[in-house]
Amino acid sequence: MIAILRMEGTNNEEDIYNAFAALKYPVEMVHLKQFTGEVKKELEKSIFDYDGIMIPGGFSAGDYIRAGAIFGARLKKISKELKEFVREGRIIGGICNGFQVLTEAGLLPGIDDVIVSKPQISLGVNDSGRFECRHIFLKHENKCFFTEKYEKNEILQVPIAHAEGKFITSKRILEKLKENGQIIFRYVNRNGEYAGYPFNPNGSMENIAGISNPEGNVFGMMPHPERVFYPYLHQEKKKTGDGRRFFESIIEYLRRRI
Amino acid sequence: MIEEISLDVDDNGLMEISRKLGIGLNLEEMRKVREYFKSEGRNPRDIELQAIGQAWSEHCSYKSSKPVLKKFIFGIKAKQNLLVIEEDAGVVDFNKNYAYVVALESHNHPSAIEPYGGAATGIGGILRDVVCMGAKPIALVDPLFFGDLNFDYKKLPKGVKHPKFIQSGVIAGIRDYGNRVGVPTVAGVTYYDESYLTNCLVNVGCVGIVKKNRIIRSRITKKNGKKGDVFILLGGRTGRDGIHGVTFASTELKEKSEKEDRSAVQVGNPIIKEPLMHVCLEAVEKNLVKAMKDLGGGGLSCCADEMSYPEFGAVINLETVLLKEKDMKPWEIWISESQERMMMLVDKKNVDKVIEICDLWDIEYSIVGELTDDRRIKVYYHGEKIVDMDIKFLVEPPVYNRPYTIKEIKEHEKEIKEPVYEETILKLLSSPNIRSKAFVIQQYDHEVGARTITKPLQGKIESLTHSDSVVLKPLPEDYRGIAIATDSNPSLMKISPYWGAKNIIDEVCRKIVSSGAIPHSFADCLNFGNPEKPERMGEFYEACRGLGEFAKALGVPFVSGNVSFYNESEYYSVIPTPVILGIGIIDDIRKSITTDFKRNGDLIYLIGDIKREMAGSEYYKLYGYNFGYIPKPDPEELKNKIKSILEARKLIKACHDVGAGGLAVAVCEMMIGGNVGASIELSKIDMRTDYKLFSESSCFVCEVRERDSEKFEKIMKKHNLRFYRIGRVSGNKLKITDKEKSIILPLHEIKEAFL
Amino acid sequence: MTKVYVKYKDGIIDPEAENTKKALKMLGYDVKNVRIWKVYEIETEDNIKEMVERLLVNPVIHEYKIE
Repeated sequence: MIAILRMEGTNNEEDIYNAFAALKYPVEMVHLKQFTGEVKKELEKSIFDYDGIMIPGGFSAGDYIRAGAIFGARLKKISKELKEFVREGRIIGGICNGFQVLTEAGLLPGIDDVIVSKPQISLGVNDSGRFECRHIFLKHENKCFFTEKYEKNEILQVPIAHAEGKFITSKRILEKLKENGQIIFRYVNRNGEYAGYPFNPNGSMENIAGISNPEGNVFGMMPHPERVFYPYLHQEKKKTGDGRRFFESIIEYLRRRI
Repeated sequence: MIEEISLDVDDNGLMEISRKLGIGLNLEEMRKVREYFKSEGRNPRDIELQAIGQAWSEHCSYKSSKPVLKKFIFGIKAKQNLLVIEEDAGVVDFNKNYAYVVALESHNHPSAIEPYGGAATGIGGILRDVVCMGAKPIALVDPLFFGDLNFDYKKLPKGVKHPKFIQSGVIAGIRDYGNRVGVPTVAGVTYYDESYLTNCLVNVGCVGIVKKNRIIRSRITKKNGKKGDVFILLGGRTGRDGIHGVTFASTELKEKSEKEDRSAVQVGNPIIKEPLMHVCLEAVEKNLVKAMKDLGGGGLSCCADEMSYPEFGAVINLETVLLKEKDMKPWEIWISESQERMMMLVDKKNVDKVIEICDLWDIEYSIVGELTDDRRIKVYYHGEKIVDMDIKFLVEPPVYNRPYTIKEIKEHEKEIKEPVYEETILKLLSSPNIRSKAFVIQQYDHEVGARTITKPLQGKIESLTHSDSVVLKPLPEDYRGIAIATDSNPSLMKISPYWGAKNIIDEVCRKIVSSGAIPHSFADCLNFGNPEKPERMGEFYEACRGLGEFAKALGVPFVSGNVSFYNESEYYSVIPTPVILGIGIIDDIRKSITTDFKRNGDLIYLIGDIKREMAGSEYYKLYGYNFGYIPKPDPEELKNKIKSILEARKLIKACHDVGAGGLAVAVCEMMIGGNVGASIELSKIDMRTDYKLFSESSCFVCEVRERDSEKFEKIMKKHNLRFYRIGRVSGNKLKITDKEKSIILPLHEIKEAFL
Repeated sequence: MTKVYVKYKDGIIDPEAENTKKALKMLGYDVKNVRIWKVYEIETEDNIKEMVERLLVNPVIHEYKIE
């Protein structure tokens, strides 16, 4: 069972829900308060009731302070459980705002520890200084449990929709990410080349669009695979939706794990 | 806290009271008020006069527009109508189990004073209009009209903000609110004209989807309510923001408005709205809501009145209302237009269940009163009765048959010299009303919800062009889709409100049909000047006549609308600007068509009769020609075009309506999206080249595979349509030949001009 | 009342500041640099430093001072 974690301002939860539901995998919406115990007893839930947690896009808590910061800080209240959860090989995925939440919560990059107390990555304001929504090209550079069904170096078309997606980290972390093969997606042009703006839509370091932890079971990306689950959702019509295999990969991994 | 006001004064005294309280009532209305309280045998309290001022404002009561709307706009019968005109939004049949909901409204004055907050709360308001029908919002639209962006800063009238400032504030407001609540903004207009300098137009529309057995009414009748049912007010707290918003919207903007009317602008909070929508829709889904209405113009006062009228009454305890600031006067609480508030009518036994949902989402609520059967509105404040009035008196204000004069229109054409074509095409492509609006569109999340099938910008990822309409797939389980288009035509409206209006309906339908959908319903937002001036009222009358006649002939109903008068200042009155939101239905979204050329070698057709109807065209405007014949679309001819395009749908690879800039611009836009050239041959059409290229007559451009051309032409002939095979998709430039004339433009120059 | 000032570290581009600079220049002013600080006024008895580090800043891009 997958939990889609929501709070005020998350607003892509239905899109992700529909993707899992279309693949007939059990999925449920859970409010953050139900995990952190801020609700009546009968509404409380444990993260261990689920094989995976997906954090959807949106503007959690309005993205005030910084994108994902408030959600991230609230999520950290259950750091101990989350650590255990990740160590057991269950999955945590974040898309767009969800990626920002994972970096703010210290669950990514997962290099020094499963969770670090201070964020080591920032998803900063786009270089263009504004929100941008459009389709872009992604290159699948390394596999993780979220992307096993894509070919290595395959080029995908996926939409972005964010104002804060510029990947920034320290030299040390960047080197580790490369060393460990944690850079899963990079922004490219139609021919698969790194090509600067507008192909790199936000000015991300080394065109980084999505990363996983070293083990490959915690993953975050700025673009929205759930928005191209079906072929007819693409900007340029395709035979199959480029996002579909993202969800199929997760499901296959979870089935294998059990 | 409560002041009793004696109306036992002469006419001057009455007007003095109206002015002092800022309630905007005229003498005739003040006399009616005096008469009413005489019959009640007592003096009114300030809060009661405030309540009347709100209820009788133009904005809330449509007192000037109603007779004209009734004559032309209302009452177009169609089998898809489920609940039209009478509520905050129109409800229209979608499929067996679902209906779609449409609303369109203006937020002009607040946006002129405070662009960011004004536009944001406009979005907030229109979302509530859809949610209160029990519907989930699935799309937003935002037609915007600004002054000339290059207007000289030094010549700005005092107190007026520069169009650049207003535009960036409005767009940021829509972006920050719309994106945060997670409803895609999929269509709109950005139009520039000097007449909008002192009074921009910010219209916002919303489309939602609702299960037919979960449609919620705002009006309480014996069917959905009973005495003793409970009013729950939920969402944002009530503050001093937005006091007198509606009376503000019902007067002309003045130089001082900037300072004096700031309190009329509300502040929005999307992060209350987002969970508030969850709460409302979850309560609706669980069948806990008997009636629901948003708090907008006129605040609690108008909300409680309109919900209860005509079969019930209400008792409200004002001290239960949660406040943003202490020491608010009761009348301020009663009419405040603070954002993010909803009123629900709930059965007493279900109150706890609603509260449980509120608690999960951290939404504040209070139980403010209950339904009575005495048809009166009674308000108590800490036990003291401070309002006690007949609801009918409030809700049925005086209606005006305002005098109007209709300007006579003389059409004439003059000979003009032929232009340099290459230069003209590039100038048109880069003109503010034609050029790419990507910088606006891409700031809005138009993909959230994963149901935007054809996009607001179409074509190749690196080379996008404008769409005609956007196709949405509202339900995961059904391929049936909705096409959304918005349109207005200020340059023709300026010349002839009657024909301008007909052209708008014609074009909005063509935009829907270009996507492969069939026109299904309209919402209208009618932005006009001061109706107390006969020539403005005449413009309104003529526009409504044009809209109504054309829509009736097509059999497509207006299901919802809004009138915004007083869009003028001491400097300018806006061009009469009816904005139409058109909704189309497509049986299968996989069959939708986009505007970008698809393949080298395909044939290009022009469908329709291109005429020398140049008045108001972008071409004539570019060179300052203020004459020419007005395009006169014919609904029967349009019906024919619709039929044939839809019949030929699977043969059409790309389709674009001929609009601003004419055939030349339409073809260029299709090229840009396809990132490919075209060669066009026009000698079969008998007219001078510039009229052929730049006329804005009612036409379509279609791309068809060569192997399908026979089938395609057969369909066009069957419907007696004039059509021309005008060329092919090819190469990387635009090549136009017309007898001995030859025009050549490389694609990259076309793109540079457009982007 | 404690004031917490947050700004981008030197070397991290602040698009809002860059855009402000551009706009001021377009209005004809000679502007060399614009820096934006975010100021929080917090009334509390609790540990401010901890609050700041838990939520208000991301050390990858921000620096702060407390007054």
